[in-house]
Amino acid sequence: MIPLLLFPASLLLPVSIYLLGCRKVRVTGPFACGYSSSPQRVGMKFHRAAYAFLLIIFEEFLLIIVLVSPQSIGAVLFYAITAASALVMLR
Amino acid sequence: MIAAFPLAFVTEWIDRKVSARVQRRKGPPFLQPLYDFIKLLCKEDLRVNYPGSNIFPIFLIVSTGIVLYLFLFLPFPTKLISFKDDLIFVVFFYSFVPMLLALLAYVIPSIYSNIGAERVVKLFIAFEIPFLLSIASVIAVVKSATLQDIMSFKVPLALILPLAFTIYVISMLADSEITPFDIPEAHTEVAGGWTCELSGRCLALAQLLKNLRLLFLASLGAVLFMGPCTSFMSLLPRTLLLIFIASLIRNMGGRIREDQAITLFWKEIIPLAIIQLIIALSGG
Repeated sequence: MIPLLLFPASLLLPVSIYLLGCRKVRVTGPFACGYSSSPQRVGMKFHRAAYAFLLIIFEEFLLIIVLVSPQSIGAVLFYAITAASALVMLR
Repeated sequence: MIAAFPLAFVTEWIDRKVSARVQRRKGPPFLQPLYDFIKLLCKEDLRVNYPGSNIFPIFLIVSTGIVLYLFLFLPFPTKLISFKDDLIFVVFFYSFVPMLLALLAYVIPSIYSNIGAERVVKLFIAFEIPFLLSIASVIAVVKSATLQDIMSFKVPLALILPLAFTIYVISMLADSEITPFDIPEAHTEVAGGWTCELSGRCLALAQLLKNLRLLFLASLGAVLFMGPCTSFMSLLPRTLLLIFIASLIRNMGGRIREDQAITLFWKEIIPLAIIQLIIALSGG
């Protein structure tokens, strides 16, 4: 538990830098390059990539299981998902 | 953690100096990155008028906090945290940084930021698996995932696992978004990508975070691959050497496309990383 308790302490530096900086905020209207005229297209791409991202995070969880016990169900899942995602990516 | 903050500016200075020398320029003075940082802090924050514009600094603060926290696992200058298999925790916790940056960019309703977010995620998908496999090779040779055991391993692992070391350096470049992998913030294509709408203190934090990420990955690389380094004085020159190499590579070529990056990592680097892991597991 103690190592995790040090995490809030490490937030002190960025928070103090942020608070030390100029607090004047100018709110503007949309920039010329600002609002997307077709956000759906970008959004769709982002979501597709985000699913793959979550898959990798999930795989990292499973990788820990592989390292702890290579013959568990988590390990089998890891091998299966790795093979499936490799096939999808290399398609 | 305290040493990491000034060293982040040294990292930026080395990068800028090497770039300048490669282009036959003199380069900035030593304190220039610090002056730039202070100047950015003094500038007013310019934000687009949209709901939730106060959220994205939180992502920046938490990301910077995560990287600073992970320095506690390295002798920077003193190793404060150590427990069994802490390397897995470090790698896993570090993977939240790209996720937070992607969320930051996705919150801002700018097409350049959104494309930047998408590219952060795509690049992460590309480099994360070879990055993990190169670290897995180290774990296989040392037979421990504890950083303390790896730090005190007698032989430099870059000599035993040259392929894993090369893959680690390439993944480090991709993770730090350094050319040829500066795809998420390509200035000529997406006007800075995820940093496009940041200004003032937020941009200062973003620059600091970028330097801290490179510094952290270089010091982790030094710990994993460059021999016994249990003290700060033995770790620092090796870390700076890796930063120097990264800066040199940055100036050698242009940016590659996102599909080329994914193809490079998935079709060429992952098979090599698997071969290296098999060799490491078989004791060769």
